[in-house]
Amino acid sequence: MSTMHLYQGAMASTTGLAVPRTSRRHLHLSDDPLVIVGYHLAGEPAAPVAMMWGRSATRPHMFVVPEPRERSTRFEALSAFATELVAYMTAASDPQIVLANPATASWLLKFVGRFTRYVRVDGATPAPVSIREAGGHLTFLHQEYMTPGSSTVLTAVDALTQHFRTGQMPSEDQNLAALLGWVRPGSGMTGLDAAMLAEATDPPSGPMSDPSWDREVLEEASELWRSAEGDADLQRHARRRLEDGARDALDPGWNQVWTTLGIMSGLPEAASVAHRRADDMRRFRDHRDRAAAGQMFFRIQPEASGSAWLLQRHERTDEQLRAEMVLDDPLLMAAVLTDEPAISGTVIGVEPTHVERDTRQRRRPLLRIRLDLATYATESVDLYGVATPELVVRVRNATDEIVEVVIVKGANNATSEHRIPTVGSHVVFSPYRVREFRNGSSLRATPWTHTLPEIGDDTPGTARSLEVGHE
Amino acid sequence: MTTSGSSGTGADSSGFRGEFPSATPTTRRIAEGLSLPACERRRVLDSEGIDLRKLSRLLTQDNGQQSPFLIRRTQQFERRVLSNGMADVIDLARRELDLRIEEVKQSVIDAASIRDAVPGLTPDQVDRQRADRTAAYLRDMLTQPSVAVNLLQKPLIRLRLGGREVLVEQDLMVCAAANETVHLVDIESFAEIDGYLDPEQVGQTMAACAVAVISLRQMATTMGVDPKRISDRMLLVTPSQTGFTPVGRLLNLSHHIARLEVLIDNLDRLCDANGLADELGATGAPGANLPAMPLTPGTDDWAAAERRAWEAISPLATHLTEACMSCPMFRACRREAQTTRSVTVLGTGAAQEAGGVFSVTRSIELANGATPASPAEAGIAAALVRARLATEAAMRTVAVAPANEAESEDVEDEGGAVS
Amino acid sequence: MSESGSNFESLAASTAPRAAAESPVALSRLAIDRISSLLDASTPVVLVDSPPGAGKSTLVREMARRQAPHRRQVPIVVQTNAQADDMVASLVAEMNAGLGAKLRIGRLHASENYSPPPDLRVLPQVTYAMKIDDLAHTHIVIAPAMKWAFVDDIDNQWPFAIIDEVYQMRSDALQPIGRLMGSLLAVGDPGQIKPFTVLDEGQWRNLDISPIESAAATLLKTRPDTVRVALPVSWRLPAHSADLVSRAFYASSFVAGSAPEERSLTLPIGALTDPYDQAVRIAAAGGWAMVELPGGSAPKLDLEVADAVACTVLALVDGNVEVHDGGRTEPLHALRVAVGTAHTAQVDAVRRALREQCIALGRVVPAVEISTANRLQGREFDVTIVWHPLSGRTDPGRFHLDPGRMCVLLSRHRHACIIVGRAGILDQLLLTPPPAEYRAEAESDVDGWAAHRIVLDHLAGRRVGVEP
Repeated sequence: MSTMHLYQGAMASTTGLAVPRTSRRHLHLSDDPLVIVGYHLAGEPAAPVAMMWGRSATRPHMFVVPEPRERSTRFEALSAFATELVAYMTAASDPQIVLANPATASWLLKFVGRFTRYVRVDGATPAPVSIREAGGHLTFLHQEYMTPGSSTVLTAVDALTQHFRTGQMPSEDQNLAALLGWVRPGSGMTGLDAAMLAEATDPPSGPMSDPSWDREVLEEASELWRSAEGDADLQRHARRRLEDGARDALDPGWNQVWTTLGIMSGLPEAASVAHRRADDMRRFRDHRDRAAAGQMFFRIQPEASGSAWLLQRHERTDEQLRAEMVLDDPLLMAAVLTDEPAISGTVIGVEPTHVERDTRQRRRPLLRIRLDLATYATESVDLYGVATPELVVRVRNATDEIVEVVIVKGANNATSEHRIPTVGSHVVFSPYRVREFRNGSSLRATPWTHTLPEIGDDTPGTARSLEVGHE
Repeated sequence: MTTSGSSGTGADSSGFRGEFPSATPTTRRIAEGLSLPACERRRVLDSEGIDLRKLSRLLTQDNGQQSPFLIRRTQQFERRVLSNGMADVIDLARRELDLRIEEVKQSVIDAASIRDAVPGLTPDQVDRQRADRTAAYLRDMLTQPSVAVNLLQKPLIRLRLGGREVLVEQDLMVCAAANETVHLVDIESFAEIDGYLDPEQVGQTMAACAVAVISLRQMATTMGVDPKRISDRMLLVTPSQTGFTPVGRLLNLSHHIARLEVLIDNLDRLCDANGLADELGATGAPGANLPAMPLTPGTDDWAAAERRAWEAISPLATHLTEACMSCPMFRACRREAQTTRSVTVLGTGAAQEAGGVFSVTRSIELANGATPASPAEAGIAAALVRARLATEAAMRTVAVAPANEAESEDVEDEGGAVS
Repeated sequence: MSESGSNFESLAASTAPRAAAESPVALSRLAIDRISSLLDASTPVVLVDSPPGAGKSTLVREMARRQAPHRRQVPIVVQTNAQADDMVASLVAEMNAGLGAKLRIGRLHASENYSPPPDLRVLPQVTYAMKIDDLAHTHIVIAPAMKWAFVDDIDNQWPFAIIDEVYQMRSDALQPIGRLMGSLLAVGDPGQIKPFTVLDEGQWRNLDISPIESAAATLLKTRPDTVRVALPVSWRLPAHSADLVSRAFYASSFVAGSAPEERSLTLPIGALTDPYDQAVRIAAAGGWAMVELPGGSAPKLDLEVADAVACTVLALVDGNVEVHDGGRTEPLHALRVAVGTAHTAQVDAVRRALREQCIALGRVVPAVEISTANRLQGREFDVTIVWHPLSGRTDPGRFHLDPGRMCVLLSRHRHACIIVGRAGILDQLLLTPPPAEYRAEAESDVDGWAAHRIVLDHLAGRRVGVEP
């Protein structure tokens, strides 16, 4: 953790309001998002209980599962959602799924996706085809959620914590109601009061329901449903009871997600968001093509070459993302200036023909800079110009007020020396720069060094048949 | 499997507990307390056998109850695993532990069955009977494993903790005894998905089982048996994928045992829990020990009891961290930290970063340029000032050119060298 | 299979250090001959655990020279350009001394921007190229892993190759290379800093082969027939350090190559008024000392500790210390002293503290090296001063207790190591509960908590209290 994190938290606690971490919005917002909130049975992610979804804040769709432990009622309920999800993923022009929190993303996209994407659509108890298709989409969406910089899947908690710092613990921020209490407390209340109130009164935003709701609403409705076996009217009544109870429980979370989107739209979009979104859409279109051709394939466990390649790609993307965010946003750069080696100041002296006493005798123009802030920068770290990224500098001498740096790249010969900053100009050098993607090693077959020995039928990586439900 | 232990209401007039209800702690609760060793409150509450759930309800109105569906699932899975002569456990023990259990023999030693067997005992005597029988069964497992009872329901094991002996309850204790060793078998209802178990759940389970092994080893030593014969390798049985088919995994508890044993040994030396508790109890001064549990929330009685309970607890030191979120006392301790503007409300990371600066207010004062009053403050003061200056400079940039991206970039540009 | 504690059985008998009967030289030679015969027998994977200062790079070069005549070409995979250049330089030096004089070396490099160090640029034995084909005439080819990853495997296959720093190499870096080579000699130090990722680790750990584990860990999983040999001697660490470092950080033990009488530090007799002088004397006498400030929690940037480190530096370089090393005697030189810390900000703080103290004393700042553990890897000094990573820290987590970083800091010295930190570290450690989250691979790794405890127990009788 960093000093800026501490400072911003202390400011939030003192002022009674969440403090902005950014001056820009670093994610894309679609005009036509699909918001989903839901609950599953305690301890059983395979048993959804209720879900609320939709493309408009005022008209959500909902399903409930009066008997969550029974496979057939589960699939029946899921199929309406699945059909809509498939339609959205096939046709939406600016697709974006918005969930309440990371735990919901992990449950719905990873777990539910995993257990529905190869579900049997034939045989004795077939599942609706829409569920299988939805499973493929959910799995793709999970991959997008795990991809640094992707805006295809957002969670309200991630969006808010990325852009604001509250006066409570980061783990407490996972409660969307409390988090929103800090960001938008409403009139007359401090962020703390609003957060504590929300924590005490608001139902959870998912994927786990409140145990007393389970006891008072779900269990009762389930009982009613079971005892109404065969009586269609009574069952309808039981279902409606559960729907009402589920709506009461999910409405707050639903509204909180839409409120979050509203808050986000109030921030100006950062410059790099557009090109990251273009990358998102490229991947999305590839996925859409595969889905259309019936070719959504996923491995349960990626084999070694796939995971190595993905790791490197994600690391590169993450590095790029961090650099873009910092360079797009002065407030994020302020955090860098506080906690990382970086320089911000005014040039008070320039020696354009300065040479370093190493064996190469190369020209390394020297800059003397009066610092805005004392710097951490040490000698062996390359720093890049923020407005002039071609400049690469290294620190040679530093006190609390003055630093001397030499330019090691970008202004070292006759053609490039025009880039040398002039006396009186303000300069910022940071450890971040955006660069062209280099071609990484491409996906190849797994070599012997990364192939596990045969151990029988349980060889990893083989697809296993998947059934949702108990025996 | 562990659930909350039996509640007693016998008053302990000479101690901290006073008339407040007691509860036999479980291994899970002991392990949870040990995961917060800097917290004097937990230490006193645990070693005094206080019913933590009731205390939490008194102080925070938090019921802390589990979902009935989770309870049912846990019971169902347990029933499944224990059914059929525990064929699944026998099979998994052979596969994962390389152990042959011939047959499962079980015994129930909960309070009710002891009272049936020997009527007229006081609660304390009942508990002692249970503990003695548990010890006898353990001895059997160690000396005659082939005929011993290897499944105990509601055993009570003895644990030396903080200089005193604590009776710790387990819901179920299954032991695979063979080849001169006794292995703990634990049944949990969280699932293994594609070979993967939730790391936090497994960590908590391992800590609780390590406490059990430590206690069993202490008991073995008392019997004159080599404690190492209680193995540090355990079998965890969980449901596989989305169904109820049990699957087993061998877990190595040696690191947990080593560290928890050291922790237990050093708790007394480093934190004078018992001394403080005794001191509090012995004065008999009003407010020094806990009140009786009141009946109805919202009444004057309740409010008075809440106040008195808090007066008894607040002198005990605490150290609020994010790990506290699973403790029943969390909301009460957090409220206190909020009132005192402690820097711990910001989380473990921020509190560590602040080092010797303990309050949010002071952090802001230092950021605003207040002179550090100690070297500890000096260490973080410069960085806090830097954070403030950097933030203010950035805010000025943003304010000057809010709408137009290009213009705002020029303002922070290296003048004269626009690329 | 995990990195530590397994697969040693085949070699334990022949390489375990015996009592005084076997000299370190003989033990070491035994291990090296064993490795060589395993290679001659075309063992698919030979994994060599090399403790600090055990002569790992010497081994790599010797094996390359021994194998080169039987193979058309021997590739050597290193991790950085600097390591590749160092290896070229050492091979050339050894050639000039008569070892492998007829061999030709190829240095494969990635881009036009690379240029060899000036003294290596024009040598008859060395060819520099960006394409492997241009090095067809060479016997030994050296390049960093990242460059080997781009070598095309259709036309290029080697039956045998050598990997250096296999414990620091990340599995995903080995993955594209595996197809190039049929069998491996993999050498590295298992006690030192392991690979990691800046991304959230959770997603990457839960795989049968995790791309963020070390290449060594992967090889142990995929090739259970790997033969593992531990080099039994550290030529760097003195007798009183080898045992401690071995016990704390390594699954297989090693001994010091030097006898106790071969290494020592001496100082003139003086009055023991200054606690920093006392600490230097204790370190000189027994190899270890701890400078202990009053206890208490402190921020990462503990300025009082930084000051104390600077005082220790000055006490050391001004103490008229004489270094006796294998028959030679020299005054202790500032360049042979290093300060090691866990964090970059601490490096900065020590530099400032040292500068301020020197200005106050009216003297030049001594040219001691001040760096983080990361940057000190692979380097050697006469005496090191270490800012204890756990000083002032409450609630140390897995990251802070990481043994690799501590091992690097404590294994850089030939003579002595002085540790600086606040009192109460051991108590804090004893009160630290086990990690809340379960990690399968952590079970068999060296436990950082236990390692730190071993070190602190050893320092118990060697402490000097200082007031800030």
